Amino acid sequence: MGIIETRGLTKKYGRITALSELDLTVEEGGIFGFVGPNGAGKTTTMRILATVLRPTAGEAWVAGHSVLTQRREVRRVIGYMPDFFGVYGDMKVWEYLDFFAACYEIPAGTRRRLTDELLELVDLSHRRDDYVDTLSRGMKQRLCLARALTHDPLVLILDEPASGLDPRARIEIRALLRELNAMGKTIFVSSHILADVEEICTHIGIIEAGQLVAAGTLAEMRQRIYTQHIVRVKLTSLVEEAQAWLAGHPAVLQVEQLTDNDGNMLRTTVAGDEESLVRLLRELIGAGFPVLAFYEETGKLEDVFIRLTKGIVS
Amino acid sequence: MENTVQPKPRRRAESELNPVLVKELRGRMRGARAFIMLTLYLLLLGCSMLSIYSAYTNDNAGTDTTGLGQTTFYGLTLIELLTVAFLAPAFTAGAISGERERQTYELLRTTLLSARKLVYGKLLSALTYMFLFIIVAVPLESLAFIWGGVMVEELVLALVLLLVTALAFASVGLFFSSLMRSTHSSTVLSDITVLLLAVGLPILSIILLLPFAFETDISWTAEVALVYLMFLALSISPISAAIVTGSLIREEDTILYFWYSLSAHTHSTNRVPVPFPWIMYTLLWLAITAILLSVTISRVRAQEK
Repeated sequence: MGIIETRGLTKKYGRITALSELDLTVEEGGIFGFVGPNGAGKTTTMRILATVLRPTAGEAWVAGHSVLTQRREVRRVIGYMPDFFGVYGDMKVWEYLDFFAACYEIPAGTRRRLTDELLELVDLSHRRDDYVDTLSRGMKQRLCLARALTHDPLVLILDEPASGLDPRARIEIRALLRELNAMGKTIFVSSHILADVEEICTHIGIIEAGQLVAAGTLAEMRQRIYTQHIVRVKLTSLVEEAQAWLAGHPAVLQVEQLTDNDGNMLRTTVAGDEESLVRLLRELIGAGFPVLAFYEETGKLEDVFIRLTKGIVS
Repeated sequence: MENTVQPKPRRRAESELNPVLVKELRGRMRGARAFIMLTLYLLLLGCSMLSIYSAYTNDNAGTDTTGLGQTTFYGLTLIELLTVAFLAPAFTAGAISGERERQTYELLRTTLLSARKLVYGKLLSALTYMFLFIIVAVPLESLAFIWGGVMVEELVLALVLLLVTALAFASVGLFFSSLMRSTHSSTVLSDITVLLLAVGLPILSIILLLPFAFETDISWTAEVALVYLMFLALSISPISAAIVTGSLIREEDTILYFWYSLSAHTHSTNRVPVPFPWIMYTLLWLAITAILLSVTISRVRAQEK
């Protein structure tokens, strides 16, 4: 069982089905990127997992606790950051964290140290005594992330944590998520920014019209949609000979010489699975060609997303 | 075999102050606003006192100051009651709806903070501030003791009425705050309710019941029912409850109950005991408060759709 599990999770708002029998598993220790078009059901799923919304049907568990019957236990193990959230502008930064720490029943004696540590983690120590209202959007996002960490949760459920942020703030949030993951937190994050998801996520789930279209590692999903591989081969010499040799190989569908990189690079389309690539490399070296590099050109998450979704909104 | 008894983990979190109370009080008392409000309130009371003093001394020239003491005390108590009746719901009408409007409600509800703690924290913070309003007026009220004519029991009853009013009317505001989506609607509904209960209902009840009071051909049972209904109607509003209690204390020289003489003599008993309005007011509003708070907590608890 994954740290997050949903079985037949359904949510209806009147006639509209926001989520339809969603079966999802998020493994412990990873960063799971939840992507999909607007209105696909990402926020609904996250709100159900965060116990702020009840599903119409189905069940979900976080760290083995049911979101329907063990809500308090679920709240103890999750740190939730909604897509839109408010802050208490009339509170100081440390007071804000201290208040939420108290709401998580953390004793007063340890709150001061905890608040300082969290502020250091999100790089807001220098704004400790400032009013929350005076913080920039990116700083408020980081403060909200620190708030979600006050009770040291196992799982972070983050709905669009980088939305509306400038490039620098996005980079900071990405770095922070990586750091939190390295600290052992499982992160379930939704984002519209596919480049961010691609960069930091170990697993990806694509949702559309309330249904899970695909889930797995990015490599697995690429494998699922691509039946051929684009491989770049860099040689120190004998480039034309290698091109001719490859063109005659039965697994190679196409080969071209790239003009950049000193002209020593070949772009090859290879049919078959990863084993075919291993065989091809072995044979290429066996044929005496001086291979300097042999690597697969990765398809972007955007390509995977476009190939797997149809642009339907529930 | 060695028997070791594991000590129970101390539930420190429960012995700590309610975090919502701490947060609300911090926010409320920060800056000059709270103190400006208190100062304005004291100015209002001070001016009212001066007006009562000058009006009384113009009409009653003499050395007996007991009447002045009583008039001042009752005048100030009524102003305090009106202030508390209208301010208490104003302080709580945005308690829950404001969290929703600020988009902080979801954040709160995903913590371990229970619905009960959230509601009690909001209520207590409003009551603490209201308590300040009641306390700061005590030195002004104590001037009445210098002039004389006021008993300690009256001061205690005035405090009871003020505290019950603060608690009850703050609960009204909280209830509407959990019911309505916007603070504006919640405030409007709370104000209308307070106005109806404090002023409208007692006047309406008296208008409706008064014709029966002059009915000569009335049975004993009907007259007894009418008497209790009249006093119950007068006990709904803090203002009428205070006025009637004050005049009854003067007449009956007691504070708990009095014997009401009936006009219908057809029955062997021509007197019935009637509790003082402050008692009926306190019991009635404590019961209503308990119901309102329980509904508010249930609503907060059930607001996951």
